[in-house]
Order: sequence, then structure tokens, then C-alpha cells
Amino acid sequence: MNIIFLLLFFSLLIAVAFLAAFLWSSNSGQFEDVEGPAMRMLREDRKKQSTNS
Amino acid sequence: MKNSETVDLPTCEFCEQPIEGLAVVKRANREFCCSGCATAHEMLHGDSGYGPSPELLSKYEHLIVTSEAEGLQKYSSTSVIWEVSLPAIHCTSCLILLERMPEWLHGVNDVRVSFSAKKAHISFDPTQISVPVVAAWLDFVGYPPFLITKKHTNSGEITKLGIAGFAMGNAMMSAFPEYFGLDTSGSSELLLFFRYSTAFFATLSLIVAGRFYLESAFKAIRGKTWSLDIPIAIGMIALWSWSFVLLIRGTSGGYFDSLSGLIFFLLLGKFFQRKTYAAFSFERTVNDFLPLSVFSVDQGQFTRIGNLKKGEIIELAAGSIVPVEAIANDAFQIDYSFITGESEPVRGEAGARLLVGGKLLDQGLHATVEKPAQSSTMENIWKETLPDTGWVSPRLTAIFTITVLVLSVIGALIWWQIDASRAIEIGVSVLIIACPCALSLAAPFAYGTAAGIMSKLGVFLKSGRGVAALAETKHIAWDKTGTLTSQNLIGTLKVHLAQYSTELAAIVARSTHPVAQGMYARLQIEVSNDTSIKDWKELPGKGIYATDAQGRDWFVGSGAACGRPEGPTYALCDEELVAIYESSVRYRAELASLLADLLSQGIQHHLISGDVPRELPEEWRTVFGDSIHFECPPEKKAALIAPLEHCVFIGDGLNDIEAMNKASLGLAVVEGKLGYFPQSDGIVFAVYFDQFPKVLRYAKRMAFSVKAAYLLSLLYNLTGVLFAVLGLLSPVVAAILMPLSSITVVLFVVFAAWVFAPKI
Repeated sequence: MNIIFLLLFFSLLIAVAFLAAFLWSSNSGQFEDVEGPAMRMLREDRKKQSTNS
Repeated sequence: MKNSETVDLPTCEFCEQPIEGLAVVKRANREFCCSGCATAHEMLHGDSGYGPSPELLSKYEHLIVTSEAEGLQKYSSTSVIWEVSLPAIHCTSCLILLERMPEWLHGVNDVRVSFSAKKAHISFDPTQISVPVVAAWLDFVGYPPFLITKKHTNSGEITKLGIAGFAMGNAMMSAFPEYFGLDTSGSSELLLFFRYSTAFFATLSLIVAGRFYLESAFKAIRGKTWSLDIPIAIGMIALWSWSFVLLIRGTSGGYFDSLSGLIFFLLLGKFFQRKTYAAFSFERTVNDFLPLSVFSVDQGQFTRIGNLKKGEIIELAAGSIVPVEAIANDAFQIDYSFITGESEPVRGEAGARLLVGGKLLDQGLHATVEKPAQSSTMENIWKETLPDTGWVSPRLTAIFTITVLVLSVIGALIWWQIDASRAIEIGVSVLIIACPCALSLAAPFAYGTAAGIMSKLGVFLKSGRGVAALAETKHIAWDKTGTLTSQNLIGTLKVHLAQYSTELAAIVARSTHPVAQGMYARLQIEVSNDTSIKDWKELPGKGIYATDAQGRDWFVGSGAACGRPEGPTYALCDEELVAIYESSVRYRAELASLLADLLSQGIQHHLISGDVPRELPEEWRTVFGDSIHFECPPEKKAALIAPLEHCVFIGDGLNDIEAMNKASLGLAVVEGKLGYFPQSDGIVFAVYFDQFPKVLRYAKRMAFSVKAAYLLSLLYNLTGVLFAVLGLLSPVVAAILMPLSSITVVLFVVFAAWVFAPKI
């Protein structure tokens, strides 16, 4: 029976890890602009090109 | 070594794409892939002297005093970040151009654009470039900046919603084993573990996310008003405390899972209701229109408006907005259309009073500050909109709450007779199950979804509340100037003596009157820095009098002032007819049928305009009947609207603010370009105007759906109360009934919103 407590502990740990990830992303403003990044990736990366040459 | 091949290909100086074949454009020793890139490069790099004009630079000079309050953050002496609103942002190119600002504007280090909020964080070196210069450049490339004076973030709400969702998921998960018959005899430790973890998650949810409802209910009680948060808070407290009692006693796991679900659904409803268009700014303050600072002659520098003292002499440039009430030291010409709605400019001599919000025309002047800021007429026009008062009316809430409390007491008293030990349980059960969760969800979801659908029809409402207001519309007050007429006022011009065209163009070019501007546009003669015209004066209601270089007397104006038939505008040179101009005010073509359609929906139309009386098309007269009001200053517009119940005001400009606040719903008609948002409850795009009756019908259907949903949720409550009074309410029943009622009500209204959605 003890093994189920260990499993529960791990499953809760995973859940808490996801919550922490969510809180971090929310607080770092990742939900503030959900359209911009999709457009930004269309832009040519200037620095990358110059280092290649 | 493979890379060297690609490196050898010449790349465009601007877009950095490899230049293919022979399509090389060379300008000033730089290679471009096309002439478009070359021109863009020249413009942005100032190679050919491109850049903001001195006028544009002076327009933003007042921003020199920008501080933290306006979004300027100082990090070091060579690094500041300025957060600014750029409403003109609308596509990928905007974002790319702005984020490449460091490449085309020296002194700017980094730009980060927030696309959905239409904002930019501009990091620059204040020793190399100043805020006014950055602002002028932004305007020059097509993004006139607006100051951010109020911080608005919704990240806190998303965080709360996330936590509530997390708590609900886990609470329900750990409540399941007991519902599915976890053997209580053999593994009491496991059972207790599940019970306590359910309790933990629900309590977390209550503290982090549900606290708002308790606080809001407390405020409502203190303010002696009824809000739906009161019965919700009662339900929450009853749920938590009774569950706690059950948990301690060890009889069952309690209703903690229902509580966490309830909180999550409530927050979801709130989130939906507030889901607005981040790109639109509906909240405007006076400061968005007035300059931040003004040049004080006494101090010899730009001074914040708030720091001006009475008697101080200020310098106002031509084209600037008067920021404080002042006495002019020179003659002036001023446009008060912002505050009075009157399009005719006003002339005044030295010693006359300048009112806040007026726009100086012609020339700048010195003025003496009469009344320092904050006590001006403009502030009075701008009143705070009423606070939110909840969806369900206070009376209905009161009836609901009292009924629930009475039922709870009756239930407890009856059980006192039957089985005294269960009396408290029954009373609390009634409070738990009667929690109006579904009731409070119906309207936000219905109207929130409807508002989203309406945005596809060109109607953007500040909140779902606007849909409810639209549904109740009984009167529509139309502001004529910009709403019913199209802003394009160019009429027909018949020139009789073409040799005088140059002089005529010079005369009408000086006036800001729409008719004169229309004539100027029709003449198609460019006039710049003309000095040949003397004694130019404009008399309101009559016309322009002037003398040209040859000493001929000119008159351009109405028929009444020169003894000719009324209607068109005449241009006379020494009493000789030069040209006739018919200013055909263009009424929005689609309007006649639209007005009739609305009339058939039982809506009464009112015409309330700040303009001088004009001829109206015949079919309009029948639509408006007696309710045609011209020459209304803002206060009169508001006074005319105030007695009308359920009145929607449809206007355009700033001068309608007071009327918009008085009406139950104020809509602003916006012509094409996004970039300027008047304060209003919603925005209607002019091109979608013909869809308006459909939108109105849709709103009415949604209001009906919400009523049906109320009935549905009340039926659920009734069933629940029946269960509770009979003593049949167990945690399982609550865990099924409560989320079920919320979900069905939400699905019902969202489904209705899609079914009734008008076809475009």
C-alpha cells in the first residue's frame, strides 16, 4: 500500500511543477502579447547572418 | 567552406535578401534589390534629408517633460525605456519596421513591440536623442504615439484563473476515489489523505481566487446594496465551513470539490466578461488630448501644465491645443469644434478668453494663464463613467437572497421536528445548493460571446454589457455632423471666370471652413505661403472678404450676404461672378433604408446636432418627425438625451462625451482608419454601418436567450433546494448538480449566441 503514497507524491509533484511553470510564464508576461511572436519569427535574423559570413 | 558561396552573393542593404541576377539598384554606393528598398533606406537613414519636418518636431516638443507617469523608466544616465501606445500598429511590417528602429534612428538601442496591446517599449540613450525627437520620428514613419498614463494589465486575472483551474482539477481528482467506493474499512489512511488533499486544493482556490467574491460581497453589504456576490459568498462560506465540519468529524470528504469547481467557473465567467479588445482604448482622459507641457515665457522653458501659476505668460504655437484657461495677449483665431461641436472657427482680439480644448489656427500667440489646470470646462465635460453594478438587478438579487435564507430556516425548522440532529445540516445544504453560480454565469457568457460575434460585423463593444444595453434600445439619438453625413464634403464647382482661379484658391485656402476647403480641393491649385491676399477676414454665417494684389475686392460666401439665391456658395470678384460652389453634404447612402428598418423595430429616432440648421432629405424628415434639434452645445445634447430611457447615442467626436455618458449606450462611428478612439462604450466602423439593424436584432434575441437561461438555472436551483430540504443532498449529488447546472447554462447561451448570429 505504501507504494501508492509514493506514486501520489510524484503525481502531485508533477502537478505542482506544471503550476510553477504556468505561474512563471504568466508573471514573465508571456500571455500579454500572443500575436507578436508569431510575426517576429518571420523577420530575418540579422545577427545570425553577419556571424555566418 | 560551403558557406562562402552564399556569402559572396551581394545582399540588399535594406532587406538583406540576396540580390538575384541583374536587378541591382545602386544608390550612393549602396546596393539594393529593388527601388522600393532603396527608397525606404533613403527615407529611414536620412540620406536625402528625409525626416520629420520642423512642424512635426515642434508638435511633440511638449513631451520634453515626459516622466515616469507617462511610461518613461530611467535605468542609467545613458539608458531609458519609454513605454508608448502606438494604435496604428496593425500588421507584420509594422512590427518589423518598429523593431528595426535602432538601425534607422541613431540613439535608439532597442524596441520591443507588444502587438496585441499595440504598445512599444523603446530603449534609447537620452544623451543622444530626446523623447520629442523619438515621438516625431514615430509619427513621421506613420505611428503617431499616444502617452500611456494608466497601466492596465490582466496578467493577475490569468494567474488566478490558472490557479483556480489547477485547484479544481486536483481537488476533483482526489475526490473521485471516494465517489467510486474506495474501501473505507481497509485503507483509512489513503482515504484521509485524499480527503485532506481535496480540502487543501479547495482552500487554496478559495484563498487565492475566491477571495475576490468574499471581499466584493462584504463591500456590497457595507455599501447597503444588493449584489449577486452576496448570495455567492454565502454559498461559498456555507460550503467551506460545512465541509470543514464534515472533514473533522470524519463523516465524509465534504463538498470541497464542488467549491473548487464553483470558483473556477465563476472566474471563467468574469474573464469572459472582461475579455475586451486590448488594441482598442475605450478609456480616454483629458490628458490624451491636451499637451503635457507648454512653453512658459516667464520660466524660459517647457513647464508641466499642472505647475502653471495664475498670471504666468505662456507661448502657444499655431495648431496647438489650449491647455489651460488663459487670456490672449494678441488677436487669434481658434477652433472650438472639440468642445462645442461647432465647426466655424472663432476670432478674438487681445484680452479675450481662451478656453481649454480650443485649437489655435493661423498663428501662435502669447497668453496669460487665468485658471491653472484641473478646474476648467474641459474637466467638467469629462465625467467618470458609472461603476459596474452587476448583471442581475439589485431587486432581483434581494428577492433571491431573502428567499434562499427563508427556505434555509424553514428547512431547518421542519427537520428540527423530524430529526433535530440534522436541522443544521439541512439549513446549510439549502444555502450550498442555492448558490447562484449558474445564474451569474448566464449573462457574461451570453453577452461576451455575442460581443465577439458582433465584432465581425464591425461593432466593437467595450464589454458584454453593451449587448444588454443594445437589446433594450427604445431611442436612438443621432449626431449629425459625422454620423449621418460622410466626412467627405467635396461638392461641385462651376468656374465662370477661369483667369481668377489662382486668386480664388489663395483666398479659400486660408479658411478652415469645410465649404472653403471643399472649394480649394476642387480647384486643384496648390497654394503655399501666399502673401498677395490682403484684408482677409471671415465672418461666421456670411463668408470671406478679401482684397487681392490688384486691389480687387473679393467675396466668397452665402447667397444671403451678396443678394443672390440661397443655397450655393458664390465667389465674386468686384461684384462679378467667378464661381458657384454647391456643397452637397453627402449623407451616408445606406442610411435611408437603415433608419426605416430600425423604425420598424419600434425604435424612435432623434436628430441631435451641434451644426447650424441644414436641409434634410425628405425621407429623413418623416423618420425623425419632430425630434430634430440643431445648434446643440454638448450640455444641451446631454440634456435632450437624459430623459430618454434606453437611449443609444451614436456620435463621432470628442464633443459628444457628455451625451455618450448620459445615454445608456454611447457608440462612436469610426471612419476607416484605426488610430483614434473616442471615449465611448463601443465603436462602429462606418463601412459596416448597414449591418446595424441586424446587430440590434441579434442583441434582442440574446437578451431573450439570457432570460431563458435564467429560468433554466432557477429550475436547477429549485431542484437542488428540493433535494436539500428532503435531506438527500450528499457531496456526490452536489458534485454532480453544481457543475452540471453551470455547464448546461453556459452551453445553452453560447449555443444560442452561435445559432442567432446574423449572417454577413
